Amino acid sequence: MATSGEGSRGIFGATSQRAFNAQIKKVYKWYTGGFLVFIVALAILEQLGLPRAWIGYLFLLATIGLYAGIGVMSRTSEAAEYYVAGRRVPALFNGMATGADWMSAASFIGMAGTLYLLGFNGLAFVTGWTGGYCLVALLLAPYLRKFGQFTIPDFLGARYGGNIPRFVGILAAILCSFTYVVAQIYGVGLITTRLTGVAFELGIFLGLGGILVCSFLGGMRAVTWTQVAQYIILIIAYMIPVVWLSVKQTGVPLPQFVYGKVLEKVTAREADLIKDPKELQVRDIFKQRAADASAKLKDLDKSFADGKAALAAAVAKAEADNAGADAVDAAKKALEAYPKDAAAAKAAWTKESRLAARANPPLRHAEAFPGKDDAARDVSRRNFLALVFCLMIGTAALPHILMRYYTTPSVREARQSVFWSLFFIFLLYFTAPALAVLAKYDVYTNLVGTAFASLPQWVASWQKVDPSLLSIIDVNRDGIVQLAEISIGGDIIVLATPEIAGLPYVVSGLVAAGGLAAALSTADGLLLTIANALSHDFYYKMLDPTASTTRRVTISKILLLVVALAAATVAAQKPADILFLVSAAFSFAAAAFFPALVLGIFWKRANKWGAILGMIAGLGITFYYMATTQAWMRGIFGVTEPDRRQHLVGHPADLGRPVRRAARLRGDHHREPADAGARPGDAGTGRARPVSEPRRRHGEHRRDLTARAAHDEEGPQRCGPFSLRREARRRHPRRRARWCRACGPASRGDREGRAHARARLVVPSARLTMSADADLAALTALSPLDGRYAAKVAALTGHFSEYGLVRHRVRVELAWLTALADETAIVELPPFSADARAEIDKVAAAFGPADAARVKAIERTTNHDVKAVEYWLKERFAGVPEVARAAEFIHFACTSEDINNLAHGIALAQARAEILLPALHAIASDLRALAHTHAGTAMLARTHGQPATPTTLGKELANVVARVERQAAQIERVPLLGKMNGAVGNYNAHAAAYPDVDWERLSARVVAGLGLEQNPYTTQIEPHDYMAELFDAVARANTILIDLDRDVWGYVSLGYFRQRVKEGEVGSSTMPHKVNPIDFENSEGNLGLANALLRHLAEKLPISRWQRDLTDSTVLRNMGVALGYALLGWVSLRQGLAKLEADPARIAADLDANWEVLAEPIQTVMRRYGVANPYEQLKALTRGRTGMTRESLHAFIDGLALPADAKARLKALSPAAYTGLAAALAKRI
Amino acid sequence: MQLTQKHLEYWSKNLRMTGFLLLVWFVATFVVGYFSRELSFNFFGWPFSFYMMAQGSLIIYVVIIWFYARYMNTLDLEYDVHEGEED
Repeated sequence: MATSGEGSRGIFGATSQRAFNAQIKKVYKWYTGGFLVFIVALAILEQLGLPRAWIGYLFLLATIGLYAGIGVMSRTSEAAEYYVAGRRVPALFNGMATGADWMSAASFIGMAGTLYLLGFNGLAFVTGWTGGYCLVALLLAPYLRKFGQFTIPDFLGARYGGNIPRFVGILAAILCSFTYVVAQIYGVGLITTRLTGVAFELGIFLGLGGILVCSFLGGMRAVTWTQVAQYIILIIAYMIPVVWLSVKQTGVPLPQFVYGKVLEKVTAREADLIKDPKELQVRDIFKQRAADASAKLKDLDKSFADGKAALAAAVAKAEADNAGADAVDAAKKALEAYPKDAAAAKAAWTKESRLAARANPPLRHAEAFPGKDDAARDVSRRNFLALVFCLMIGTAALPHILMRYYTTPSVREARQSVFWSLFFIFLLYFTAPALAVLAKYDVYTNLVGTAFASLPQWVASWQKVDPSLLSIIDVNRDGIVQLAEISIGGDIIVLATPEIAGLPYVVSGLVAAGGLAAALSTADGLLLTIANALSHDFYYKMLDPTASTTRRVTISKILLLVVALAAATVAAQKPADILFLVSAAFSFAAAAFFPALVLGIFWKRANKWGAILGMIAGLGITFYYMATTQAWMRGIFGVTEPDRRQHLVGHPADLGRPVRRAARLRGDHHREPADAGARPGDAGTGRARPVSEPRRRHGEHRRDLTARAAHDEEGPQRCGPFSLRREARRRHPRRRARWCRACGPASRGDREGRAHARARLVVPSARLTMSADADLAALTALSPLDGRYAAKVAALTGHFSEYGLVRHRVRVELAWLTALADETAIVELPPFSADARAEIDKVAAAFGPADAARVKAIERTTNHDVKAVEYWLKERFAGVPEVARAAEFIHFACTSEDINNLAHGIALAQARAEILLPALHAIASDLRALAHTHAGTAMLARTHGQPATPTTLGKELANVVARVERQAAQIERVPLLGKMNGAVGNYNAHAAAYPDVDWERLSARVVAGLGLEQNPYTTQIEPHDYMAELFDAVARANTILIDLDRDVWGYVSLGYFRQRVKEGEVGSSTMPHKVNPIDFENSEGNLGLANALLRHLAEKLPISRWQRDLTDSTVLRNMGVALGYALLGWVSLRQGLAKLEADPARIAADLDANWEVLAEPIQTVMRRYGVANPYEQLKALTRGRTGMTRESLHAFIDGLALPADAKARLKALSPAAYTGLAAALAKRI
Repeated sequence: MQLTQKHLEYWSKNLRMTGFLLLVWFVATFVVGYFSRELSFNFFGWPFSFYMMAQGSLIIYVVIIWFYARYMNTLDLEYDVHEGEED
């Protein structure tokens, strides 16, 4: 399938969504065909005598190699690709991937066996595991997709605010995924071993290799496409044997629709077998043996001694009686076989006593809730329904499944994707009950009643492979197989079906490969969930929000390795109760996630602490229940008293149990305590609602503040005018999933997240206290920058607000103070000790809005803003004697402007480096991606608005990339200057106080220390010329972007671009053809505002009368406004770009309607060959004519006196092909 | 963002449909499940309750999800509101 690679992005990186979908469909059609051919080829080879072991190896190598191939082709280190497969997995394929992700080895191998063993009660798994998807579809998937992040803890973190819900989410996600993944890797080891015969531990690590090549290189992208491949294999592997068996038994290849008749026959046969005398005889023997063993166990030591003595006596008697060598030998053997000591005897007898289970009559397969009386049936029913409920809720809350719905391109596709998920899961689950019944029928009619001498081949071979899967012993020694004599393990149903149906060995290999695919795909998804929880949610969102994309993806990959190895190590220990872990994963997920997610979506009053406590309570109660009811855990937690709980039928853990407790064929549904079944408790905790907050009629406002504060912990910048959104939600609940809209549509979330994160670093957490009034401020703000758009420009407020200015001033004052202290010539101010220095640094670093508010309060009395900072510093350091003593050196010899110009410089330097340049580069990189994608999309150029020589869409965008990057470089090159030289720039006061100090050098050092360059020649003010340069450069960049805004607007208007709309949102169009260039219009408007201000600043700032007037101070207060409008324009532009989707058909249509553009190449070629009057000839042909076509042009060419090859070359041209080097140029950018 | 009557209508339609489908889901699963012993009449060879738990409910689930996706995707179109309202 590795053929149609396109550039570096491979087959999973095609251009437009539609082309991508078509390509993917083609690839998987070929793939499915290829796989079927592979099976047929193997089957032929088998007939030609290929050894079975080879078939196993070939399957293993071919499938794992295939997955590895997809993994390698899908390698990526882009965050959106790595975490959510670029959000462009079509619904159908996401459905397949989810199906594979969901169906583990337990579903594939264990399900039919469980149904075989449990009959009706086993159907709880079928219903529960599919019905859960209704909850996913109706309550979760579309809303999560709309939210558009990367992981489930992301949702919790943003919906409830703060890191605690996120952290609890991370813990729960890891807890359930890790327990689950251990079970999957265990299954991988088992199947690999079975397929190839290698050691179990080696099998685990072989399988692990298979898992890692899928997920390691390409994250979600690789996992998704491998899972699709795995789904195809597993469904083929599941269907072939069942269909074959169905044809054999019923003559119809649709087992799902005809097995009702078979079920009737099975039911009739059961009735016979229940009262069959021979069966009764065998069951009596078991009953007797179990009773004997139980009796012996009652007085262990005595029975052990008695038994041994009796056997010894028998040997002696045989010898004494001369009973013959045979009899003596037999007696001796019996004595040797006797348990060596009392402990061994206890184990043996305990095992024997369990035979009681086999003394029960066979289960009636179709009977609902069997039981000996009504009370037992009632318990059975309740357990059944509780299990169904628990499985449904668990299904709807598994993070590795929910995460998948983030990968669809839209909400609409998310809804369809759930449908396809369930559909593909349904195919298997719909078939499993049929398989169980068909297999049962075969066993009941073909196997039961057969003579031991003529057992079918498959029975012998499976008895040899693993007696716990199948063992038949002639208990009553009549030479005929009775049902009661068969001990069968659930796993064999799927594994042996090919042989039961008489299919070639290659199908058995196929089934094992299917099981492997199921286990690998689930393990892949789980590992990725864990690695993402750690790298994305924990590392990136909580530890280091500045981490670059590449770094995060790298960390995720490393974690993936570590987690995979850890899981493999645990699995290699063969933990005693591995399948208990599977069920634990479901219960944990149900209890921790379901309520928090669903209520977070549908209940506006669900809040942070409610969610946290709800999740913790859910986990805690589940854990407590397990600890007290599971023998395995009871041991660990020292719970010794017997469990008196009602034991329940069925449990996810039971899926695998039959393998081990093969004796339960009889359908006894009274479990040993260790088998505690479904836990209504889990289901109960599923309702652990965050209801801690009482309704407070009068507390409405306070609650808003609480919510706001909780939100702000995450960073107010993330979500902006929260209260407005909140208000909107109150009136309109549907809005709730959009509260993070300000953070941008999904595809931008990551990049913007970084910008937010940066801003968060700049603005200390004390912002919390400021936000209390922010609700109102947003409503009443005069400027939209502080109201409507506050969230988008929040990053700038830390620098250019009043608070930002004060903060930077504090930093300057302290830098000056420390520099003075370091200067030895200033003897009155000794250098600060390390402690004092640390304290000073702390004050500078931790300066928050609350501090700024205090400075403002002081200003009210001093009436001088810079002086207020000085007073505040004195006040602040009153408690630090060493600094307090130096108080008079704060602001020493400074003029206010010394402090202000440096504070402005710092603000510009930091904003340029952290906000402006990254934002511009982000635009360039978005454009570059578009340019690359559309490098080859030929498009009609329009000089003067008229059709002209074609170009490509990508090349046009590449032009802008080059322009934007050039301007970014210009902006970056502007030197940022500062001065610290007193009232008129001559160090007058300085020199007067300390004539010996080299003030120029000291000043230069301070200025450089703040990240600026010293301007040695100034008046009272730094003349601001550099600011003019900077603002001019920004304005020029804006002008170019306005040009782009208008061009894109025009292309949208021509229909060249459609807009990718976010379906499902109120306020959004879902009509694919509907185009709305609002983002570009918004951008154009805001950039215009920005340039008006920036240009005025650039013209105004260099002018200051004589040594100083105050006009600069006045306009400088608006620096942030100017840059804010610029940033706003850039953000809107990117928002618009992210939604663009080219319409190649529309673009091509325009080209095709303008064949006259080929006049240029024809004319040029005519000139080359010296044809007379080329221009005039063509002019005559093209001018004024409409409807120039390929035909008319070809007729013209044919009429020219040109060499044949030149004619052919010209005739081969079409407008779409006449793009020169455009594609190459676009790709190179 | 101006919240119009249209939005409220859209949301309440969504809620109503979600509620209705959840009811269908509940009946098909839990009500039928609860009365499994009583509902064991012959249904094309299967006892009805067995069929429901093994096949019928699955079909209903698939249809529920298909229908919801279709209904909501149509509703989105029907209640199309200008994208630019919250730029």
